[in-house]
Amino acid sequence: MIDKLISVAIFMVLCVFVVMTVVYASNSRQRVNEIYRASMVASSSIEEFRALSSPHEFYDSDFSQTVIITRYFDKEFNEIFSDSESHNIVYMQEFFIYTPVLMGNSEDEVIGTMFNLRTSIARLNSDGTQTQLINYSAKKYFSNRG
Amino acid sequence: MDKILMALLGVGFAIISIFLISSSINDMDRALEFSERNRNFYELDSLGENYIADVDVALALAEERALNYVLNRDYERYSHPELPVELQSQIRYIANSDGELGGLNDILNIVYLYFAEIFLNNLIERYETSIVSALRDEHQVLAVMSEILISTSGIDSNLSVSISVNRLLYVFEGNDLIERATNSRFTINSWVIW
Repeated sequence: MIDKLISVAIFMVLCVFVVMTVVYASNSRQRVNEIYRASMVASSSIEEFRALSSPHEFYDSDFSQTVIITRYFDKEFNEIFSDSESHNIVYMQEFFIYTPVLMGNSEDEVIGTMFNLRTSIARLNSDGTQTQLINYSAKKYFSNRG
Repeated sequence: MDKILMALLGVGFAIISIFLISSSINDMDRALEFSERNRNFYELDSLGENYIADVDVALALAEERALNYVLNRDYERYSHPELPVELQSQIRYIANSDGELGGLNDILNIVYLYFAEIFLNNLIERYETSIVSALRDEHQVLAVMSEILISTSGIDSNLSVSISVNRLLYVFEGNDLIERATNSRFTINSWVIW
């Protein structure tokens, strides 16, 4: 009788162990999936950014920038993370502009414009913290004279 | 018999678990490696863009010096502190040839390429490897090409960028500057990440 109880207990422990393993594997696969999809979204937006042939495609003359890229990125993100599992995936986009200036004798010359785009995608955890999945940044320089 | 069955079941479960865990870890490693490789690619590409911005600043500086040289008519004297005497002698010869080699625009380009070579060579300090080659005719620099190999520590990839400096095109009428007709200061010949 005791032998049977021990056997059942061991069997139960093994079952719990297997269930935990399956849950771990499932979570891990989900995270792998998230990383690949996040990488796809971030790469798409950055490739679009790198392919710009003119700064005018990127910002209006009054420097109200990020319009085109943000719209593109939104679309791509919403398409790829459209399933119900992805409701806790968030993305963030940071954008900077730097213009090297040559101090001239008469007036200062803006030589070109350096655009910096950083995209990061993270999973929002139930405790409010974020686990970063992807963080890519890219630069694009446009000379004022070609 | 029950014990043997239980033992076999246990071993079976353990094998399945080990397989699942190792497969998951493997997949995760590959996903992280994939994203890391992409991140490195963009990091190198960004460094290349920094290099191009630095080249543009260097060439703008060289252009400014060359233009001042021509507009101040420094070629009429041998006393420019930054140019070698031999080069100034060549420039003086061109100035006296009266348009034989294109006049002031040629003088402008000789001085421009001379300074461009110097300023591009200074970029070596900021980048790990940089090769600046200049085509010379005695003391005169005819063309400047810059090739750079960018690699950063911890990244198993390299970026190679090759640019060539374009000649300037300024239109003069007599000694007066009419217009700047140059479209771009440089051309990117290749941009390879491997």
